[in-house]
Formats: sequence, C-alpha cells, structure tokens
Amino acid sequence: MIEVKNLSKNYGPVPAVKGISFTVKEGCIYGFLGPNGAGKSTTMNMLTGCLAPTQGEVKINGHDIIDEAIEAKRCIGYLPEMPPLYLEMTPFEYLEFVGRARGLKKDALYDEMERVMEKTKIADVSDRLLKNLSKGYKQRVGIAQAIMGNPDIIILDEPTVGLDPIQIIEIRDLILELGEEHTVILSSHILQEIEAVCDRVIMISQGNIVADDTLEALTKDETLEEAFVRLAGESLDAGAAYAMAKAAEADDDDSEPVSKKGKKKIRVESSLGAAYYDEVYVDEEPEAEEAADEDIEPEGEEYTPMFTDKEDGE
Amino acid sequence: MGAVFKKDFKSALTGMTGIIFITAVLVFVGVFTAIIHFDQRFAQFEYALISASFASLLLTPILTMRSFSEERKMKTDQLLYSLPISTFQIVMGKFLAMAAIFAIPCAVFCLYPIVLTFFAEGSLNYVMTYGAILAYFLLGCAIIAICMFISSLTESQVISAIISIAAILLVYFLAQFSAYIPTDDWFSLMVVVILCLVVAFIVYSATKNYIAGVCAGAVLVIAAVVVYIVKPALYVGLASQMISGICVFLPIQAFGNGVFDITAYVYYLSLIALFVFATVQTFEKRRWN
Repeated sequence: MIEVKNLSKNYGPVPAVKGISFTVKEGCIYGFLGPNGAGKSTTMNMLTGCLAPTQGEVKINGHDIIDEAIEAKRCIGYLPEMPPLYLEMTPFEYLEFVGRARGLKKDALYDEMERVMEKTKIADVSDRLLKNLSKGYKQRVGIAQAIMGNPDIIILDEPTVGLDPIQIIEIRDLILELGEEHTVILSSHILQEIEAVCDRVIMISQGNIVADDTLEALTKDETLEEAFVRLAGESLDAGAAYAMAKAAEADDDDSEPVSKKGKKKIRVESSLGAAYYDEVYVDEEPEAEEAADEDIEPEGEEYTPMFTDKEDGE
Repeated sequence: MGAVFKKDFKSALTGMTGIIFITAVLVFVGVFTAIIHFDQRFAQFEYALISASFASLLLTPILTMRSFSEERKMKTDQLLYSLPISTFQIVMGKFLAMAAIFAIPCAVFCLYPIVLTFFAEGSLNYVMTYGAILAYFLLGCAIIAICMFISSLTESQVISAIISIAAILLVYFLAQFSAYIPTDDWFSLMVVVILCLVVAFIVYSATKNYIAGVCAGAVLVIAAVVVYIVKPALYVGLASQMISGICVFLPIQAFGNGVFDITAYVYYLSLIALFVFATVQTFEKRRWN
C-alpha cells in the first residue's frame, strides 16, 4: 500500500525526519505516535505530496508520490493538522470543489457528496458558511473532504485536537468505522486515542522511528504510556548524549584553556535545535552518557523540550 | 483545472472582489468614453479604451491579491497540494478564473461601438475597434498574470496588492522615462552588464552554488563585452528600447494610431506565458523548501 524508504527532510540545516523506512499494509488503522516536534506532520506531509522529501522515496500503491503524483494522490485522502477549509464557502460548495478536483462529475459527484455528508453527519449544516461552524463541525468537514471519492488510504493528522470529549468520542467512532473499508493512518500524541482505535503503532521520536509493531505486542509487558516514555526517552537521551559528546569534543579542540573542573557555559547542538546549557559540571574525561544524565537546565531560546506545544520544524 | 476555475470564479463573485473590479473597470472606461465620445463626437471607441487602459487596470490587484496569498495564509494550499491535480492545472485554473472575471466588462465593451454609431459622427472601423478590445483584454490578462505571480510570492494580501500596484505604476511611468535615457552604446553596455549580474545572482540564489553563479555571470558579461567590441552599433539606443519593452501599456497604443498590430497580441501572450510559468515554479518550489 504505502512503502516509505529512507525518507529524510531537512528544514535548512535542521533535520526534521532522518531516513525513516516503513510499510503500511492494507486494512489496518495505523497510529502514528510521537511527542510534539518529532516529525509526525512533516512525515504525513511527505506521504501526501504536500512536501517534497530531501531524500528517499514514498510509493503509494506502487506510484511514486513525486514522479507519478496524480496517480498516487488519487489513492489518498488527507486531513492536515489544520483543516484546509475555504471559510467563505458552505460545506456543500466545498465538497463539490473537492469532488470535482478528484475527478467526480454530475450524478456521481452528488451521490458521493451525499454519502460523505451522511457518514460525517454534516448534512444538516451543509448550507451554512464554514466560518460560522463550530470547531467540531469544521473538523468533520475536513474529514469529509478526506474521504471524498472513496480513496484507499486516509491520512488524518491529529484529527481530535481542540475538540470536546463528546466530539472526540464521535470522531474516534467515525475513524473506527472508516477503518472497516479503508487503510487509515492517524497521527496523534494522545495515547488513549491510539489505544482506542489503532491496530498497529509506528512511534517516531526526533525524526527516527523507534517502534513499529502491533498494539498488542507493544503493550504486552508494559502500558503504552510506559513504552512511549521509554522509547521516546531513549531516543532523546541518545540525541542529547551525542550532542554533549560533540560539544565536549569541540571544547577540547579549542585553543583556549577549558576549565576541566568547575562550572562553565557550553553551546550544545543536537537534532532538537541548539541550546546553551549553563553551569555544567565537566569531568576530566567527559563521558557522553554521564554528561547526558547531569541535571541540566536549558537556557537558550532555540531549545525545544519534549511534551511542549512548540513544534520544532513542522 | 475546471474545479479550481469554478471555485475561484465563484468566490471572486460572491466575495465581492470580482464585483468591485468589474465595476471599477466599467466606471473608468465609461467615464473616458463619455468625455471623449459624447464631447468630441468620435466614433472610434478604441481612443477611449486606450486612454482608460492605465486607470482601469491599476485596480487589477483587487482581483489578484487573494489568489495565492490567501491560500497560503489559510493553509488551504495544503489541500491543493494533496489533491490529484498538477501545479500547472492549479495555476491555470486560477489565472483563467480571473481572466474570465475580466472578460465580463470586456464583453460589455463590445456593445459600446454599436451604441456609439448612433451618436457620433464618422464611420466606424469594426476590425480596428474590436481588435483594440481584444488587445485591451490581453493587456488586462498580462497584468493579471504579473500580479498573480506577485501574489504567489507572499502570504500577505496587503503586501501583494501594494507591490502589484507599484509594479503597474513602474511599468507605466518607465515608458515616459525611456525618452530621457541616453542612447550611447557604452551606457547600454553598462545596463546589459548590470542585467547579467542580476541574472548571475538569480542563478546563485536558485542553486545556492557560488561557482554556478560566478560562472553564469562571467559567461554573460564576457559575451556582452565581445558583442560590444565586434558590433557596437547593436548597443545604440538598446537601453531605452529595453525599458520601453517592459512597458506593457505601449503596444496597445498602435491601435489608436490606426495600426492593426499583431505583434501586440504576441507580446501580451508571451508575457502571460512567462508569468504563468513563473507562478507555477514559485508554487512548486514551496513544496521543496
């Protein structure tokens, strides 16, 4: 269905996705899980042709997303993080446009619109302007757009963000329903959501895939939350340790005498961005792992810690 | 292409920008027609149309400022990128929708010459008049293409509108300015060398490669200097010709002088093709950044 090989994306010098590979098979609901700034949205944008990869390839049903873009995009419905709605249109006009762009005409178009509106329960607001609809309805219209023309694969980027609990349950039910007929890829950092709807989980952290398995296998010995914290944390530690080692190395190269014992300020560059760590205790021979375990406080502006809302490079 | 065309055409009419633009064009051309024809009793509608071309088309950015800026700002461009339509189809759909809006007042103008024959003295050369209306339509389309390209560069409608209006003013006043430009060959050579350096800089910023930029610049400058040494006569008056060349309001003037000028059509169609191509490139490039 979807084959991703060695996919990378750099935003300028900052790598957002670092050579990931995975395969998505037919008839499953995939959870694409990762902390904020992990590269989820970047990956989804590359899968759907909204972004061109720096390296690597994406094949949708055998069609390359760059070279055979039209054929590949016919197989995909995509709801980006922010539903791409024309606010001055009504849902009816909007779906009419999307249907036409997907090659539907006349009766087929209006039948499909009816089916989609019924499925997403937006028929009763179909003649109101999109700008006047609530967030929940806007999200539904976004999903309706993604399933227009009945594509094989539906990709939803954080479809329940900003919704109230009732709306979240409704959208989850809808996703489960969609999973019966389509292959669904759902990105989220909400673990309960992934547990509630997904069959398989692909976990991404710092632009790398850290897990790609069934939900049962991942939650056999620990809860999903524990697995998530462990895997994402390991990846974060590895990144920080690497950056620390690099920074220490750079300091060693410096002709200026480095205080081998005591407090100093160093600039650490890692895949997370760059940050100044103040008052780090540096040993005679800085051990990468030990340095990473030090209790360090980030000070620089560019630092993007995990579990915050600031998206890094997305 | 059809889907984007229908969406944009409809939203221009329901979102008022299309209506305002159509009204503005009709009012400006109407005022010039009233002054020239009802006052001086000329039958030739092309005089009014050519005189009104600058004033009526200065408002083109009202129509074009939204085209790409709004998509980018509202993130609806992500929808366009993910739909199974090519970038060329998206850009052409948008361009044709705006051209169709502009065609509405132009269709109304087709009635004016007939009405004028009832009031004005003198006979009417229908070929010249309708030829001028077609040239005016193509001139408008060329300006739409230029402004659409400017809109694709920014996500702010206001910036897009201001730069577009500045561009229209610049090309209009350059024509008057071109008369004061020295015709000496050395001056033209200087202008050509500066242009070569600009091209070299564009090559550098597109490829991010110093060597490519320097090589392109060196080759172009050497070629320009060699041509200057071999045949300096080619450079006489070249600078002012080049400047008149970018003034889009000049070619249509021929119709006012009673010349049915096919080259004007070719000129406008080339401009449209050039800026549609440039817009496709800018829209496509954003996916790669």
